[in-house]
Amino acid sequence: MPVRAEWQECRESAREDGLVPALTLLGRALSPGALPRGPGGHAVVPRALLEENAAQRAEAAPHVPAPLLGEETGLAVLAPPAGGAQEPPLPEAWRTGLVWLRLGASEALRDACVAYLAGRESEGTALLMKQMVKGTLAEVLIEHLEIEGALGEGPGGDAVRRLQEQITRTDRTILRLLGAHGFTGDGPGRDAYVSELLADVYATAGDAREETP
Amino acid sequence: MIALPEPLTALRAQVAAWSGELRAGALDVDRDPEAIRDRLGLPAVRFLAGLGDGEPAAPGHETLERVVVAEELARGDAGTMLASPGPSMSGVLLDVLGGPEQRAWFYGRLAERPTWTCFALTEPERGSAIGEMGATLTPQEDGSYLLHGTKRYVGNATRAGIAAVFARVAGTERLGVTAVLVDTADPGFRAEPLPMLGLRGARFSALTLDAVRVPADRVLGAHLSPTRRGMWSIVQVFNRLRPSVAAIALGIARAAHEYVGEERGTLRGVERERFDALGQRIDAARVLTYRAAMAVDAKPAAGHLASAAKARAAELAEHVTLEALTFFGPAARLEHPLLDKLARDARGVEFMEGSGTVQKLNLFQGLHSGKVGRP
Repeated sequence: MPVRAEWQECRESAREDGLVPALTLLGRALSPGALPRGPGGHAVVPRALLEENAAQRAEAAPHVPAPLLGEETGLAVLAPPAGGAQEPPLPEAWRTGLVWLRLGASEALRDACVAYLAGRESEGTALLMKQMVKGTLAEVLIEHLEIEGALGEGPGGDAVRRLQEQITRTDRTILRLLGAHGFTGDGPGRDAYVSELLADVYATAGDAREETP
Repeated sequence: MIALPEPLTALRAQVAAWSGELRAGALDVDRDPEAIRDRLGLPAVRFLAGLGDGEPAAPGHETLERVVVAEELARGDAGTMLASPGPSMSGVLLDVLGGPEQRAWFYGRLAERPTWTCFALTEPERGSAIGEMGATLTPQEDGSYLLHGTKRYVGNATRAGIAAVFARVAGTERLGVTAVLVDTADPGFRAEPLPMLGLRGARFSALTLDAVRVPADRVLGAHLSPTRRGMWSIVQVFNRLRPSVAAIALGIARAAHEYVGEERGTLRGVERERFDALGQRIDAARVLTYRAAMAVDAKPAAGHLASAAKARAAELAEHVTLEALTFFGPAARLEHPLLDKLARDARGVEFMEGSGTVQKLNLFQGLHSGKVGRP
């Protein structure tokens, strides 16, 4: 599958503008007119996108109370539609686009981490310049470069799941460097949490790693 | 498996029996950290609130005792455990640095009613780097001090009655760090809750200390020799606390692992193997944690195993809680909110009592000096 311009745009947007604008872009470009629902029927949707679909969707979309995703995040978490009403399955391009988006968000987290550690000192040296920190950030970069390369090859199916897990692991590595700053609800860790939630909600039905009979 | 002293086996069974009711309220305390106030009657919370400076269950095994209790309570709910009133980390500090009168004052206050305490070390600019602490104690003519500074990520600070605060005595050298007890009702003490992604029950807070008056008799360690007052004691406090933090991580990992076992029932094939492998890793980390606690109990300065246990258990808690989610289908985080909470809580252990990086640097020192890793 050739790399689509929309995917690149989602990655750029996630890195430069943030997760919610990127998710809005992904929805408008690759599932226009339909709420992007995961295989279980749940959705994590920018409220702006929900407004656009309000007329046909509001009643069928009870919100799930999510303690960390208040209105200020610009996101709504939706339960599966009542009565089992079926949305059309998400296009494969949307699912792949989500990996691109999460890569961009992970790169944004890396940017935030570099900036944060550059501004903090220990024993007269910026934390960023400590050898263990440099080594860890270099490992993060290797992950990002590998994911970027794999995405360029047009992954499908199981490869998408593996890439999502790789992004989560990479985010966790960055978050450990951020310490408690990455654990606050108004800091860079919140988008990382939303990113994990997106990977979870939009995992394919076969993604629970069950034994093949 | 390492055999526990008999009184600790009994204590473990007693505490383990409370895990169900802790778990039942876990999501409520996560949603609203003040929900702990409705749970002060729970046996587990009363147990934590009532911990005194009396005889330990197994004398000579105090760190191991805290490890056994922390794992079982965190297996119930780490958030509620950390939300509970009681001596908590300040109690360990008092064990090392408190004089008899200070202990009497501290535990006397705690005996009056359920009282929270907090342990204020971390600062906004310098984290937990003790050598670079900004909070200062300025000596006054009457022998008291005025305390100034800001602290961050201090658990329970908004509801604490007593705060243990680390600060530098103005005009002393870089490592001249002292711990003092502060009555939080005193003027100049202000705490604001911080929004957190996990371990929300702990009510991590930001603290402002603006000319808080500290009487001379609230300075910890004043009865000890000058060499034992400062870093020497503080390192011992960390050595004693780190195995307990490792145990909290173990408890979180176990909660997630057991949840998979309970909700998925009989697992087969590859899933069974994955599940068993996670259980084996938890057991291995527990052995490391027990060894770390026993090393500290035998010799309070022997903290390298404690660093190893803390670093390993924190990593493992993240790993197991993420893996646990993969045993369920799409939207497992929404369909199994307890697992989502455990995956969030697990992240918080990483920065308690020193990040993984801090532990690894400490371990390297042990390796380099030959204090660890040799027969």
